Parts: sequence; C-alpha cells; structure tokens
Amino acid sequence: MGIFSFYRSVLLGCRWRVFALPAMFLIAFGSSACQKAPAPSDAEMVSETVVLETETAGGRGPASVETPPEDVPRTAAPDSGGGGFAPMPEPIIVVEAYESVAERPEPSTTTASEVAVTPLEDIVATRVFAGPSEYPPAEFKAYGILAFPARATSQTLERHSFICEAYLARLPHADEVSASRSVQMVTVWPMRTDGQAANLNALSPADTCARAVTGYGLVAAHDAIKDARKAGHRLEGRGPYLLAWSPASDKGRADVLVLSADLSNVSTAEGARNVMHKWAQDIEKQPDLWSNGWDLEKVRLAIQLWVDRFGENVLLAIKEGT
Amino acid sequence: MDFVKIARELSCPAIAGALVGLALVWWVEPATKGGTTLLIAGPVMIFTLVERVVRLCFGRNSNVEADDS
Repeated sequence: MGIFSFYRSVLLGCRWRVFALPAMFLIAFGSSACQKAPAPSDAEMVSETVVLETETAGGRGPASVETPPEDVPRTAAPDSGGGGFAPMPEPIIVVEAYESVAERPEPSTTTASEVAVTPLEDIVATRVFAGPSEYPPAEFKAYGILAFPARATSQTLERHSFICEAYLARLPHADEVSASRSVQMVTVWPMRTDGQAANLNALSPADTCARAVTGYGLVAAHDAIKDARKAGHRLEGRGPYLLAWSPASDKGRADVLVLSADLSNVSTAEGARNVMHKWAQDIEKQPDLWSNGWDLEKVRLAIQLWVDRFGENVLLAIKEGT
Repeated sequence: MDFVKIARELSCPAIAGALVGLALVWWVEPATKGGTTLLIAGPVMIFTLVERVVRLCFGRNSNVEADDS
C-alpha cells in the first residue's frame, strides 16, 4: 500500500475524527476562556448573618420562634413508644436574619444553634522592602516573600531586573494604599541591611530595581525556601519563588498553608508581569481559599512560561545549525 | 501551484496537529516567536509520530504484500 493511498483511506475512512479532534480542543479551550468570568466585586462580597434557633428539650426558645404549620408532620418523640418513626432532630426554623453582628441581640440561653458569619475583609496585596531585623513583618495579615536561590550575576542580572520591575509594577507599596496593614498581604523583597530597605522604601520605583537587585537579602530568601520545603513544597528549579504564609507566625512549621508560585520558567518581562498578576490575584483571595492544586489558569501560565523559555532556545539552536 | 502541492504532501495528522497548535497558541498567548513556533510544531510532530507508530503497529506490511503477490 502506497503512502498516498494510505492517507486517502485515512481521509475517507475517518474524516470526521480528523476534524473532530481539533474541533473538540477548540470547543474545550473556547468554553474555558468564556468561563473567565470577572471576580465578584467588593460590593457583591456581602457576608450574611443568620441566626438559627430551635426549640430545645430543656426549654422554649424566644418568643419570636414560629411554630411550624399544623399540617407539617412532626416526628414522634423517641420515648413515645409508637408510631414507627425513627427519632429525628427537631426541625430548624430560621426566624430572623440580621445584616450585621451589631444589630443582632444577645442570644438567648435557650438557643440551640447559632451560625454567625462575620463580614469578609478585603485583603490587599502590597509590597515592601525589608531588612533582616524587619523580617518577618509582624503587623500585616499575612506575608509572602520573593525568594531567589542566588544573587544576580552578570548573566542573570537582566532577568532579576525585569522580575523586580514586574514586582514593583504590579504590587503597590504598603504605605501607598489606604487599607490598614492588618488587611494587607505583603510580599517582601528582602534586603541585606535595614538601611538599604529603608532607602528603597522611600525611593521612586524608577531608581529602585538596580539597588534592590544588588542588595538582595539572600539569607532571608534561603530561610524562606527552607521553610517552604518543610511544608512539602518542591523548590528545585532556578527560581525565584513567591512564597506566602498565613498566618505569618506559622512560618517554619511543617503542616501550614503555604501559597507558592515558581518563576523558574520566567524568561521574559511579559511572563514576569503575568506571574505577578496571577500572584496578586491569588493572595487577595481569603487564605482559606488558597489552593496549590490544579487550576486551568495556572496550567495556561505554566505552558506559556515553558514554551517562551524553551522555544527561543530551540529557534536559536535551529539557526545555529543551519 | 506550490500551495496545492504542499497541501497534498501534508498528512492528515500534520494538519490536525497544526490546528491543535493554533488552538493552543490562541489559548496560551505565548510572548515570544519561539514559543509560538514550539506550540505549533510540537503538536504537528507528536501527531505525526503517533501516526507513524500506529502505522508500524497496525498498518499492512508492504513486503508481505509483495511476497503474496
């Protein structure tokens, strides 16, 4: 069978499969792209407070407790000895809903169960340069660090610089934002000395990166990488890594929640900006929603960084070979 | 026409791979020319390789065919 006749038979025999496969990819990726709905706005993130009260065996609930309608079948009491009903808990009746905790009156002693959800705080992603004595910064809600495994050399200076520029571009300084530090999730750029850190915190971003890269605080970075490894993260690449702990006091423990991002495959300024953007989005979620698991956007970003890093090398190798 | 000749020479898996590669480029949005090239060339190579393997495993052997005749 000649190769041409083989292809002809493939074309005639399974034409629909040949075109169905890319079509399925297009549909899958298209639908995932369409599902990139905007995050709910601050106004939409309204928490609710609901008080649930039930009658208890030992007493009656407050006067506002509504009795269920007569036609609703009640379960038999366990000690009634008849009826054939399995003993079931009393039904929960929602009697009042309050918009805030302050509005809600003191709970009665006869309240059996109460669920009160406090309003969600908006976490703001910020940045700060910190010296050895200022690390970890205590007054923030949570903190992260941009941890390079090694200082910049003449070969890696450009890469360190554009990562620094992306860091400055995406994250506002902790003093710039109006939010109090207790709701800020700060990402630290460690510096070798406290004086260098103080100078950089006062400088405009245009002058900052050259000094930040040369005065990088490697010891704090190594400690952070070590602590993240203790928590089970594999950090074996060339880095840098974005690592965050919540709460900050749990840093160094083995069973803590650590959010991490690996920038080992970042080879372009645009890639660095994309990673910083994703990082800021991730840490602005509530820490209990942090996830290091599978996420389609993370996969897309990982593929982008990988092909950008190795694609250029492949093209260079082809050019050199020809 | 050259374009027709090229299209004739291209195999089904290569065309399918190129389409998948284009879909990946659209989704991933690579920042470099190398990244774009890799995203298109990768699926083309993988699809072609899979086709070759499938042909080797399940395709008819031309030598046997010649002997039979």
